[in-house]
Amino acid sequence: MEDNHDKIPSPFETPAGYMDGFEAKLAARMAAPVNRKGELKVVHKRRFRTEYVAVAAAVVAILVTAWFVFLPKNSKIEIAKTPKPVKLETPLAPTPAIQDTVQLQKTETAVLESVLDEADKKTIATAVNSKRAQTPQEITIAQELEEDGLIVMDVEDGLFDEIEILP
Amino acid sequence: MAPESIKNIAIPNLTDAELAATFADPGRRQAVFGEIVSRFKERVYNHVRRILIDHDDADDAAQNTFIRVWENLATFRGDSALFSWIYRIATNEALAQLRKKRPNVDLETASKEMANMVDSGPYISGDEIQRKLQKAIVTLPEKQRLVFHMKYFDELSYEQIGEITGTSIGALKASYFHAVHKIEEIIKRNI
Repeated sequence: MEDNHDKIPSPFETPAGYMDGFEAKLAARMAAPVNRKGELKVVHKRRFRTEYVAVAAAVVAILVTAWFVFLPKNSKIEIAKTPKPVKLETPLAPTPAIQDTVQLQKTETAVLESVLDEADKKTIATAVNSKRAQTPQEITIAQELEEDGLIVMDVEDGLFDEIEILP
Repeated sequence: MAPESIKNIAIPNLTDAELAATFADPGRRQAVFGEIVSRFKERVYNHVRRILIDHDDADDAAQNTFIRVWENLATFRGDSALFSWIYRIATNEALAQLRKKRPNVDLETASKEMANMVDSGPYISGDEIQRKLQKAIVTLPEKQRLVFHMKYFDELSYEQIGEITGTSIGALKASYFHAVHKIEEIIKRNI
């Protein structure tokens, strides 16, 4: 194994014609419609993941249904009577369903904030604002965040112009 | 922009450093990239193939490597040699692919799977000692395996390997020393 021994070659073969066709295959792959990872675009708005919205909607639906099912006896609704207009004298307190939705939103935001620590936020904001050539560190941070599915970069000529922070 | 002195030089005649500098010229970018692929495709493929064993996986990793090169060459500062920079990207792509395929598998299980691939995978020939060597290599921890590949098969210097892995030369020498001894023990045990 040391330098004075004959080197043992690698047993791996390259399929016939593979190297000759490599550039063409690469060109075809680069010309193909990009997947989400290479996509260029973005917006600075924060969106909520549809899963969280679906969960929140389901929670609201269940709670509202449960509230009707388990109505206290003295609150029974009499269908035969024409309901009189009700004047609210005091504002309605938030229902548990609304509170849950708000809590979900706060949790989601908190999670995102905790992932992007101050250094990352400052680095990305600086690069976005200045539109100068980004440093390798900024590129690395942005790429890592993109690989983690947290952001999508608008990349042109190796520079990122805008970044969307994904839910 | 590329320095004036190299603007009239034909692209195949440019050094690696001049190639990287010329990439900044939008009019020559495609040609420069083509030259980079042509120069490095074989080494990149062989490097990732040794890590991944399987040809299709290596093909994916090699293609991804050059896509990343295209995307990021404009930000390459020349702190290291172009080859080292590309090699580092290739290494990361291969390791990412390896982890993606076997995310929760321990080293022993992964080594057994890869050893089976050496025995039965397509596009693998070689005599018994070549296969024994590869099967011994796959039992090494990731870092030692990488260092061994780059030193033994690619014949890179410790300085080059240091640029690629970000590891000190002393640590690399120790890694290679341990890798060689482990491989020798395994091969002797199995003879």
